[in-house]
Amino acid sequence: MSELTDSELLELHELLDALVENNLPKDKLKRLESWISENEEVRRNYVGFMDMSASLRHFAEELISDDTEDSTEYVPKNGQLISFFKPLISIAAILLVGFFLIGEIRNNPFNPDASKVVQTKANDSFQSVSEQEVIVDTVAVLTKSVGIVWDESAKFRPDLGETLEPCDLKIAKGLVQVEFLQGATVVLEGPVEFSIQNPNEGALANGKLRAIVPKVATGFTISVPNGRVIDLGTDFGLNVHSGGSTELFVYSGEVVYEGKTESNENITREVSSGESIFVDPYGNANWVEMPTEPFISAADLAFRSMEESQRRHAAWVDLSNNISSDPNTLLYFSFDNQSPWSRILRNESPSNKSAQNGAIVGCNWSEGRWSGKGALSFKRKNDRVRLQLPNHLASATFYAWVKIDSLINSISPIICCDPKTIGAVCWSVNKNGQIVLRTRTAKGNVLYESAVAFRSEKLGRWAHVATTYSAETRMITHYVNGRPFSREKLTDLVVLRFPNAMLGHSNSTSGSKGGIALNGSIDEFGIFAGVYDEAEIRRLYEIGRPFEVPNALGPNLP
Amino acid sequence: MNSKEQDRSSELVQLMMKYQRRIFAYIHTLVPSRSDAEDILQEASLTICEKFSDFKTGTNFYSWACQIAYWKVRAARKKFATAKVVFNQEVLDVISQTRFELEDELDNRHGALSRCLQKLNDRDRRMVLTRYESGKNVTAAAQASGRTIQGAYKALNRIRKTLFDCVSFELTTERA
Repeated sequence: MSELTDSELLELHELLDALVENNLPKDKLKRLESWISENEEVRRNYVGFMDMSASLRHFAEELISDDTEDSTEYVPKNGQLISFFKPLISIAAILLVGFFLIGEIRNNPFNPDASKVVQTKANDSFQSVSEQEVIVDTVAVLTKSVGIVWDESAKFRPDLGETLEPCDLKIAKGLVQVEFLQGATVVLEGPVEFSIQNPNEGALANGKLRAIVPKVATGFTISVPNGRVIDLGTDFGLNVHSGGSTELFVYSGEVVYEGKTESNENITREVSSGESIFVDPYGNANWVEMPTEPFISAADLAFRSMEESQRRHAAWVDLSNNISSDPNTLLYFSFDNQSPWSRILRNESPSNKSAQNGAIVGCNWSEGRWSGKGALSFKRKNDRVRLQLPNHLASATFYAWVKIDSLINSISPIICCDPKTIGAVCWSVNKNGQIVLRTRTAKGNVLYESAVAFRSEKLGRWAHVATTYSAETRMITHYVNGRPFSREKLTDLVVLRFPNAMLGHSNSTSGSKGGIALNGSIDEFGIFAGVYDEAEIRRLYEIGRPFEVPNALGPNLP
Repeated sequence: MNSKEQDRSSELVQLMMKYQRRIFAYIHTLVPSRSDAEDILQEASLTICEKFSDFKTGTNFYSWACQIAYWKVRAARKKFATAKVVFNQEVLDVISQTRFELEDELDNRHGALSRCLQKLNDRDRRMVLTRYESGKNVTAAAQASGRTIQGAYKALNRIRKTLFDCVSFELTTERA
């Protein structure tokens, strides 16, 4: 067995470190894979490193248990063999519940729902642990972005609408608007490096920003290389050049600049409306007439954002027209151009148009993915859209744009039918956030569940979901935001049917009187005959998404 | 449940309590993403529970449970279009083999790690353990230690290296 050199050990450590942080680029993963395969010493190091990672998890969970029971200082329990760490408490629960239930299954071998019961119980116990997770404080929200390209070194790349904890934003190109929880808004203009530090404070290392600070956020502070700018209720622009100099221009109100020169001399400048200062790299502040470059205002950004949104909307309208005229479209609701008082949901598929219109019961019209686009929101348990679908399908593609607000119900139905008929379908998201296609077969209900697709960060945001049911390949594929997410083998082939179908509602959930409605909104829904492939589903998502996806192949941080 | 079933149930829980960490560590060695490894552990635990009647008391529970976990990892490779399992099958097999060869050493490494953690300063220890708490990420670790996120990534890299080297040193000293 050949020993690794110091530089090889260092390289290996870097690869393994990136691997456990989900940051390893594909080419380096390939390098690691072949290295592990060829070199026994690398393999031993790899196993030791991953085992250490598992042990750290063990000690971290043990520490939480200790904290819960007793607030004494942490002392790792050297050599302790038996101790539950938190996720495994749930597994112990699974074992106990499962052991008991397996007895039940054995006693009822013909109960088709039995395996589902075990799974549900297990997931419930897992859920109870997830609920104990501590959430780090949110300090700001990313509210607008136009043409954004993240810097290559940016480790954190939030999506539009994402809440932000203290973090660093590194933007190569484009515009971003961040709203701080205290009330201040900043518009960042790439290239820029900005740190969000707390609900009323940030730091600009490089690049330009414009800050709009209402009275309620007076005291909003931005650190710059040689000092800080403290706002007294105003609108100002800041530009930090790569050499370390800073320009400050006040549009209205007043700000205070406090800094130190290279010779440790304190500098304070009160800068009022229409005034501008230039702080050189040595910390000396000088009054100047005008900043060298203009700053993008929130209104400019809103206008550009609206233009971008309109461009996307126009592209989607074209796509929507294509879907409406496609002979494979069995049912299509665009939710567009409907009156807010309308109680009929217009079907836009090429055949049986009006016969397959939906009857809106309870649910209210709300705003969809774009300003001015309609959506139906489902909240109360009787909210639904009743549908009449005479067709049956050997293979099918279901897709929808949904915004799920919470997963408090046992399921969040997208479309569900009367489950008594063989072939009846229910397409939903379960309590754990998995997409589920349920079909009724001669043996009972069969569930095809994806991996967990809706974690807490996806709730309250528009998401594109699709599921294909292929009689030919006997596969079910679930898609999230245009990407295949998980696949299942089709175990019991049936012809799909849609008796008493309802959008956003299910009558068939055991233990729920009157059924369950989706807690959220739908603003596009379609069923196609046949199986759409990955490229077609990706296209539905790409054209339909209401926001840009900057540097979509960036690192996937945990 | 009759008394025989109760005995079996209690035996299962005791065995899982004893081997839970090692079973997770085995899965994590094959599946580097911690949350994915946790998902697979959950699935494997269900199957262990379902198949426990096949397990013969007195034989090696850990090996038996790892066989189930191994097949769960293989199934995850086929099931998930987005790769939960990043390595190809051949590599998984050699990693699995190496892990079994190193089992005794890995137990010693676990003990040594607890001692090495005590050698870290408070700030570093708090940070690395926060990172490994269930549901916590690097941002949480950065906050717990008063670092920027960029700084937290660098610090975690350094701490893991320190711990790995410390554990290797402890083992060498023990052998000497």
